[in-house]
Amino acid sequence: MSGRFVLLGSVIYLLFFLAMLTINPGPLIVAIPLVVYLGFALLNRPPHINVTAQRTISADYMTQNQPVKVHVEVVNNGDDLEELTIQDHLPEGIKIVTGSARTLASLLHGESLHLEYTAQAPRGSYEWKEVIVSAEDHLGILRQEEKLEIHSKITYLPDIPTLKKVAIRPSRTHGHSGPIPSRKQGAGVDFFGLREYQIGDPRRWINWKASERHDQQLFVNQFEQERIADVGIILDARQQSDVLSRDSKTGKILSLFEYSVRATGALCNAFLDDGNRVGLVVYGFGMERVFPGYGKVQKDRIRKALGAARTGHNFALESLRYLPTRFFPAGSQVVMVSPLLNADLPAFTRLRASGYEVLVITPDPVDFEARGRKLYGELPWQLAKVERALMLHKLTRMGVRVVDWDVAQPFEPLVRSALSRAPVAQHVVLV
Amino acid sequence: MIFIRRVFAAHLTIAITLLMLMLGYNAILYNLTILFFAAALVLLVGTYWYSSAVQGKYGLETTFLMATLLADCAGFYFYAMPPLAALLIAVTALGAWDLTYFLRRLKAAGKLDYENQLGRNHLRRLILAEALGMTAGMMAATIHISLPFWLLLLFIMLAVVGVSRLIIYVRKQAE
Repeated sequence: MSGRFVLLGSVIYLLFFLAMLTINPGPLIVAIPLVVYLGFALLNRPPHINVTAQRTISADYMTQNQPVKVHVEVVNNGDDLEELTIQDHLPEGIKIVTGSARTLASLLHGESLHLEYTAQAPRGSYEWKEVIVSAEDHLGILRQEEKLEIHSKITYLPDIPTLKKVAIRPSRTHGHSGPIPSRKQGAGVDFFGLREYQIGDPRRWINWKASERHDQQLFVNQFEQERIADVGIILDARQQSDVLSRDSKTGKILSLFEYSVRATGALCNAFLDDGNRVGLVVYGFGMERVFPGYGKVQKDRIRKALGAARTGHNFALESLRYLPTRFFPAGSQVVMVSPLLNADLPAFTRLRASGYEVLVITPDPVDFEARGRKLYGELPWQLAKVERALMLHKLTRMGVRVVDWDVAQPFEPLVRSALSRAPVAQHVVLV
Repeated sequence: MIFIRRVFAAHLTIAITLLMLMLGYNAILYNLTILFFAAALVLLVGTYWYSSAVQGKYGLETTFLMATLLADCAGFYFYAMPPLAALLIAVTALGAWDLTYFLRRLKAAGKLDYENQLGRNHLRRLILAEALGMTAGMMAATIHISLPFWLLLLFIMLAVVGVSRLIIYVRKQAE
């Protein structure tokens, strides 16, 4: 029963009472067309809805903001429906580009109706849950509604920038050759040390300058083996570390987390392109994990995990205290992508003490928020900057490589300038 | 949709013009200046109703219908309004109200291939309901049977109970 039915009924009541109150037939005469109209609607009331629906989406995964075609087919298995409104209930965040997710039609028994539209959305995972079908009489007075549960899902993957090289130097490497200096002597390109000449050594390895300084002795260059390594990437998806800000030009709400996701994707691709074994943990509402792996398949897995990543709050995971350190092999490279909170510092101490090489890519939340609130250069901004600089300094003192990223600048040139050379080998005390 | 909009405009024009004419006529007849203001107010309401429906702003049509019907009843009660005119105003205002809702549904559904067929079906039903309503109303206005007060009251009470039962029945059916 629609609101219009109740309304017409109320108006008729009102006119009846007006007629009684004034002892005048006028309101009664005025009420007659309304009664006839209502009776007409009752005579043609819609039958019970017996329809089935099916939804098809052109892709399960799609790059963010790319259009996908959605097709809904509704078949009427029951009596003829004179006016049928079909509405595909869109998940929040999905925007229609062409077509409409709603239609109005007459659907006779056995007939089918096709609803087609193109939709797009920013990065994220979206789930369609229901198609709402409502049948009305031609006058729109009486209505029957049915919600058909049809689940469909699409994940919009992030648009990931390309990085050329990210130089790392973890304390342990794998047996296969790769781009990472292994701190072991062997076949390689970079100079590692000198040793005395032995029979069988190639002549071009002889270091003539060193040999000149010693009588009757020849020295040869030793080279550092280059191997692949284990890299564990942690994406901070805690709600409290995310910052939302309004873009002053477009007025859109931007999330710092989106920058973190793109940076994580770019780093994963760069490490995987170098042949390393890469694993991912999305630390936020829960702990989404992609177990360490190699190659294109792993790249695809990580991209899908990043597509579905979202911020969330979990009291148990408020701090980085519960980071699953055992998820990454001992001595591997851990890369943390996080805006960082002051309370996070002890977690890095623990990681360093466990023997991990730690690299932190930290999108700057202070500049990001200050830009949105137009506080750039103001006293609160200065104080926050000092506080953040102090925190980053403490991290550096712990032996953590820190890349402070102002998200207004592109990520690739920053990585090229800050991470294109491997750091000096550090001695780590294993506990 | 253009055709439906034209029919809607025609309904609204008839209702508003008749109401204004009645008010103007009574203003001259009884020498009441206030009725001229009432006529101007009716024109304002009608114009606003039409412009909001054209612009796709909906929600006020029910208020407009109520206002028109109450003005119609007031005209009947206080002044000399012929029953035919009162009925015509009620029927056309009801039609305009119905078409506003139909236009809203069409607009929400977007571009439809079978819009003309839907429109034709809707108009057929509406015109039939209007014609029946008009005929029944005219019959009620012309046939005069003197009934004692208690019988009149009984009939009205029966009508009230009938409508109530109808609403209850429809609600049950919907559940």
